[in-house]
Amino acid sequence: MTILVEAVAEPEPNQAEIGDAEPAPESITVADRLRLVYVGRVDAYRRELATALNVQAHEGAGLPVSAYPSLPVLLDGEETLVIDDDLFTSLIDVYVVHGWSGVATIGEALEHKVRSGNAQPAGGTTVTVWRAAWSFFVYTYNLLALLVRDGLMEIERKAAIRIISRLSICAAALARAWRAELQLVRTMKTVSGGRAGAVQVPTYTMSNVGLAEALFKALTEAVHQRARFDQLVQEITNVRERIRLTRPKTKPTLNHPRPRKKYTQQLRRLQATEAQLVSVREATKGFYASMAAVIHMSCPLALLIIDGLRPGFAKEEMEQLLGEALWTMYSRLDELGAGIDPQASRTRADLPFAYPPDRFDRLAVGREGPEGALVDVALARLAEDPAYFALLHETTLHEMAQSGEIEKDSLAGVVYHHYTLTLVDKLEARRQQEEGAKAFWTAFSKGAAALSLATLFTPAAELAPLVRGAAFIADLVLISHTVSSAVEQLAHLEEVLGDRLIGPDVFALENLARVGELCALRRDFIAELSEQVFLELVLIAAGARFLPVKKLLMARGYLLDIETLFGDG
Amino acid sequence: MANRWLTAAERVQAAKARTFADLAAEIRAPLPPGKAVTPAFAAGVLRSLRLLGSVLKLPAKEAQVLRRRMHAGLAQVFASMRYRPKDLGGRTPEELAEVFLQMVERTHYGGYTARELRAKAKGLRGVFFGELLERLVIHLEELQKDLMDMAQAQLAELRALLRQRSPLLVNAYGEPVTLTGQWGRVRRATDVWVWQRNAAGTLERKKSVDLLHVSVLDADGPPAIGMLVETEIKGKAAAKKLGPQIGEAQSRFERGEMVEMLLEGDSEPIFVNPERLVFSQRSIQRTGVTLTSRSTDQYRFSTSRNTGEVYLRTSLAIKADILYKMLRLIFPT
Repeated sequence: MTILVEAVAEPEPNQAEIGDAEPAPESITVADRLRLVYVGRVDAYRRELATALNVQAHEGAGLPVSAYPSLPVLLDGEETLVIDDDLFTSLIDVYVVHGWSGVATIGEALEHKVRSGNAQPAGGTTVTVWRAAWSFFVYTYNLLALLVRDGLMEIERKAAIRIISRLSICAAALARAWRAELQLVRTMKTVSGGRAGAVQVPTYTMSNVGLAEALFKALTEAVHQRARFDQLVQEITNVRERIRLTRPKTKPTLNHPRPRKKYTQQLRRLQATEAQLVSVREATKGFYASMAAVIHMSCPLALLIIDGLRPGFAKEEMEQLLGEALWTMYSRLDELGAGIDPQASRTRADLPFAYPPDRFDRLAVGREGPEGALVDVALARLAEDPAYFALLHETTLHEMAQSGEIEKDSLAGVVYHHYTLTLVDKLEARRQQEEGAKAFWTAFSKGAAALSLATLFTPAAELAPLVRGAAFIADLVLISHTVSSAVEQLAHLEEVLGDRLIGPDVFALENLARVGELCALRRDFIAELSEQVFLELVLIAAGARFLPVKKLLMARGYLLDIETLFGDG
Repeated sequence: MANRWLTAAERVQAAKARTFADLAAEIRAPLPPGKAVTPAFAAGVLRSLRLLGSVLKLPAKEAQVLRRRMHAGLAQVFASMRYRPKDLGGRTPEELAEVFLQMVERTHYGGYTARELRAKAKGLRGVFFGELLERLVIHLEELQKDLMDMAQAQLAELRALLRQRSPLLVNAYGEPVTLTGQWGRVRRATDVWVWQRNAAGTLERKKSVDLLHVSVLDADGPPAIGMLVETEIKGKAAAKKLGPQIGEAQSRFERGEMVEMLLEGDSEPIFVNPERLVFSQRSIQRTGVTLTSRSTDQYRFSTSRNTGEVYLRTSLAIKADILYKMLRLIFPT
């Protein structure tokens, strides 16, 4: 969006009162300081309107309602926005519900009005009035952008602190597991490499023979249960997807009174497969019990390879796969956490918004808003600067919100919601990209894999408040989510691992993990999750509608909070 | 034609309806209801931040600006009028300005946005005017002296009826009461509230008479309060309801489960069961204080009859200009 009119000259608020652009002392918040400058700007706006309309305006006194310009804006239907003293409140209300795109929509409507106003008086309102309104709007818009930037800085700082703490947990636990518990040994073995001749490949064996035997037995059962679960879920999912794709696009008419035959057949098949839901429920319980058995052996890391093993696997294969999965992380412990510094804000550097008094001649940020602009920069620069990881690790952000580190009753809570929605969209778009994606995912996965492992090492600390007293479903989906996240990131980190760990015909963990991902968004959601909803979510997660449902559930939880906060307006 | 601008609550409800409908189409099972945010959050930072746009919100520096403006304004007002700060409960103009700010806060003036304030200005001005008048009456020395004389006469009446064990001493339910002990000195009581149950069955308190002169029975057991003079204070417009309101004063107490009042000199309010509120059935003890447009600046007593209840109506010839000037300090027009 570009400015169309020149900024109206106006007295600037006293800089000594406002302070400079450096971080504010704790006793005076940024919001307090902005409040002061906004009050000054409102007075200036009133004077401008009074001058334009040739009416008297006394200090502190409001103009009559009719003196303020208004325009239609398309948000929840078409509404009339009055550009008056309450503009900031109006913008923040729209931002809370619609995010920055809502604020930008208002800007575009006003810009259109100003453009019209340059040509002729609009609706009896003079051109000068519209110029004053535009200048006031830009000022207020930038003020809100500054506050959102402030919220993003707070989120980044807290995320960085949390990540550093979690990475250190992972580093210590991984080293202990490698040496003391699994007692893994890595040796290089010479094998024939075809045209390349003999090549050296690493082999992994567990020296802890007793644990290896026990794990083999437990994993054999777990892989069997997983295969049964896979088969049932996949069958129902396939039928549902086919029905979705073959569903008639039009309602029955006189010429075509009945649904297509193919669709009717699919519906019959669905009725038959839906009867299998009972079996899915039993298979789910069996799968969970086998996974829990592995965890009870104090060896949660073994869960990493459940999806990579086929029924009938050998013990040596299990040890090799486990060694490969862990070596990547074990050998890179020193790298973990490097480059993340809570004191150095990338947000501040990348969103250099000036305080509004310095810049009310143009909009500080476009339709993408501070959140979109920041995610774009973070995605582009992560490969060269690991500090951006704090802005990109979605799970950490959700954990902060759930633990109360990001307070619901704060601007940071609102910013968190809109930021994570933006992040989900842009990360998905990045997943769809082929070119240039490898460097990003390698960088991203370094931290993400370690963080997922950290949760796996300390499931009690992170998950106990969630699962205590809840049904087994809660445990299952959260464990699956943790394991699958780690597997996914390890796969990104080492392509060769990806081939081994994630087979094309198994999706149990990924499937359950997606449900876990949904549940991790809200503690109260998982605490009250019924088996009926769980099965629905499992089937959705296996289909093509996962992302829209995830975003809808994020919005649902957020709106429930906001409803309480804004309940009586 | 475009609709009006939605309130925050309406906007949230619209978004919620859209989201829930979309979710229902995706997930064919009832979702958990979701846990509401702790109500304590509801008046917190987010709401305050939203009010950033309210330039008239009081906290922080704006309050200082308002205070400075009020001090200057009050000095002008008092220079042109013969009323003194102490008539309104302040020793100095500065102290009076503080009193004003407290009154402003009680009307939740700071919680309104500028737009809401414009829409509700008339109602808020009425509330504020009523409170100003109440302060003026409570601190008007001449009137208070007369009210005190009335209360002393009423106290003598109650003491006589107590000695005689007269059936004319009744409680709030109209039942004759038998008491032992002695009536104490006349005391003023303000912040009088009646606690009663609403339709939902929960207790809530409702503002009762503006000013009371009472006597506390010096005896063991639950407190008993002798009702001497009840005073309602109304502006000219609201005075139309003065008669009916005073007329049902006793029944208002009767409907309550408990009556709360703050006795002058006490730091904590006292709570009294309606059956321990004691009235005399044979003497005038209810007073309405209002304004008159007559030019004389003396107040005088007159009587009127309304809803069968006899009460003493006091019309004060206070020039309301002073009140309106004060109002304009808060509600610029």
